[in-house]
Amino acid sequence: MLRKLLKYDFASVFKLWWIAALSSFGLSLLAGGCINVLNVGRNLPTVVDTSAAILLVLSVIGIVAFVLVSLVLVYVRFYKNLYTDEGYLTFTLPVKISEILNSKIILSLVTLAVSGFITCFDIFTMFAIGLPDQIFDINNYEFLIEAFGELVKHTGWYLPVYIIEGIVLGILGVLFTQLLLFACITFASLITKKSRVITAIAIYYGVNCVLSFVVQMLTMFCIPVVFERLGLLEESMLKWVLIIVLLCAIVFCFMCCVMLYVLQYWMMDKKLNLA
Amino acid sequence: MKKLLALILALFCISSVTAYATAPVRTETKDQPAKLSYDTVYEIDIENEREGLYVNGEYYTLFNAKKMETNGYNEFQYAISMSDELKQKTQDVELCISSDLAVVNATYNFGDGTSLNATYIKHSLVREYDRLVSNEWQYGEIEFEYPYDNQLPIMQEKLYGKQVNLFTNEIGDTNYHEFRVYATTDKCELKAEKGMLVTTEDKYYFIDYEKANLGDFDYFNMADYSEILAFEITDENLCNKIEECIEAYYDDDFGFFDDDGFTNAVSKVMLTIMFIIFPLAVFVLFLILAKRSKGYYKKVFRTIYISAIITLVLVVVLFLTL
Repeated sequence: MLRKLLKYDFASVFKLWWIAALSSFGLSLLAGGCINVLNVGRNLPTVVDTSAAILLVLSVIGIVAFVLVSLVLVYVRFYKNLYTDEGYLTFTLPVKISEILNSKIILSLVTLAVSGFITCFDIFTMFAIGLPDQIFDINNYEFLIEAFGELVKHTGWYLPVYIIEGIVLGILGVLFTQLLLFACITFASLITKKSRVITAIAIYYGVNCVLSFVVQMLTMFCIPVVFERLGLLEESMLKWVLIIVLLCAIVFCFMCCVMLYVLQYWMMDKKLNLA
Repeated sequence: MKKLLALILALFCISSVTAYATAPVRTETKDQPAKLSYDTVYEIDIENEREGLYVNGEYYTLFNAKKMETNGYNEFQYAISMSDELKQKTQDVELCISSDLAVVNATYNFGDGTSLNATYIKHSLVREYDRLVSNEWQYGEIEFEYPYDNQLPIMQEKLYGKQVNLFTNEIGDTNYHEFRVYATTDKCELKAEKGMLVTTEDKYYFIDYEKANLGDFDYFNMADYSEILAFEITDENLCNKIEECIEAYYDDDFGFFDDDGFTNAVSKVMLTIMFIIFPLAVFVLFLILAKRSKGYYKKVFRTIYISAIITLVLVVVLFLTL
């Protein structure tokens, strides 16, 4: 049943998403053209230069906004499918609550990943059209190759491990953010019948403030001390310790994500009343 | 809706007018006395002279020499001589004055888009300035970058110990640091950079720019020279004071906290709460909940308390390692 849920979720989101993606690509072409106009240095009238600059700024804003639009589509789908009149139908389907929740989580992660990829592609397109000489000149990437070489030289065989741990940590971080938003929407739907969206935003803002404060305190006080301790270690020992530190962070994040997941599940299972 | 739009428009107008009114006013043409006012400084009436300026009745002489720095308002650049031709070309003048009113910096904007910067010093301080840029200075200071405003007052004679030749490639292999040495005066906030204090792991050297014959440069960089004449500081009292300043330089958290273990204590408390107490509490809570639950909840609670115990184990391993 999860597959069917995913099918309808993706169909619902992507029927508008593809328009946004296409628009974003169009904006990237426009932005590339504007960069070309501004970069070539022809003696164009000031009006043309100014218009190109304004269009460039608006295009970049549009490309960035595309990711936000994608996320909003996911959250709207989550809210409408579960907490409006459509929710009556959803919760009468012969599916488990966990499958409904998993479907939404997979939808948000996949949409975010694809949107991120499209955005990167758009940015590349923009610069490929606007600055083709710089983008396609391999000499401009020498510093990157050198930096990577230095990194490999210092880390050796540990580098792939660090990369994998970094990716996993990144995914867990994104997952945590999505689960937090879903939990805020669910909680808002429990506590109020009207203005659920505004309540959800307010709850999310409050929770985010608290979490940001905690993270800032950690960054200000703990990170320098930890770095100082790590700096005293030998290089061979340091590589192992970094692996353990990242592993610890991964497990901690995973624990937080599962806690949020079970909270979400419990709210939907025991507390939700759509009447 | 209309009222809201009217309110927004009114706020916009008020803020625009306020911003315009409080901005520094550009000077008028050279034929009219210029007025410049800032929030915290003064109204200054300027009469433009060939060799100097009158500012609030005080005469400021044009000076032309090495780069000077002041703790006040502005950095100053090389000055040039004024001429009638310059006065003819000048469209308007922008002025800044140092906080102790010792130095005035003028930027002359010409009609063709170019500009010229000139610096004037209060006439009564010209002799003091000459003394600073010559080798007649007696008192100075060493400027350490952190914590802010950390300067060590010194006497010139204490800097000249044993003469040595510094080989910069050898110095570069050590853990060295550089701190600027200035000649100062108590008559105003002017100071002139005279050299560099180079600290290695066990010795302190003073590089006198003039005695080392380094030539002209905008910014001294030891790496530009293979060998430099320097003086090893042998005065024990000065060496001890420099050592104290350097220790403060490394131990201070940018001036935010005193070095009394406060940061260490807070970080230990936070790390303990986040990575020991919190996972422990989660472990206990979800272990109890898992015992009392059934079905799907039991599985999820079990996942949580297992994650918590793994976190605790990893934290203990890290604690033992570090």
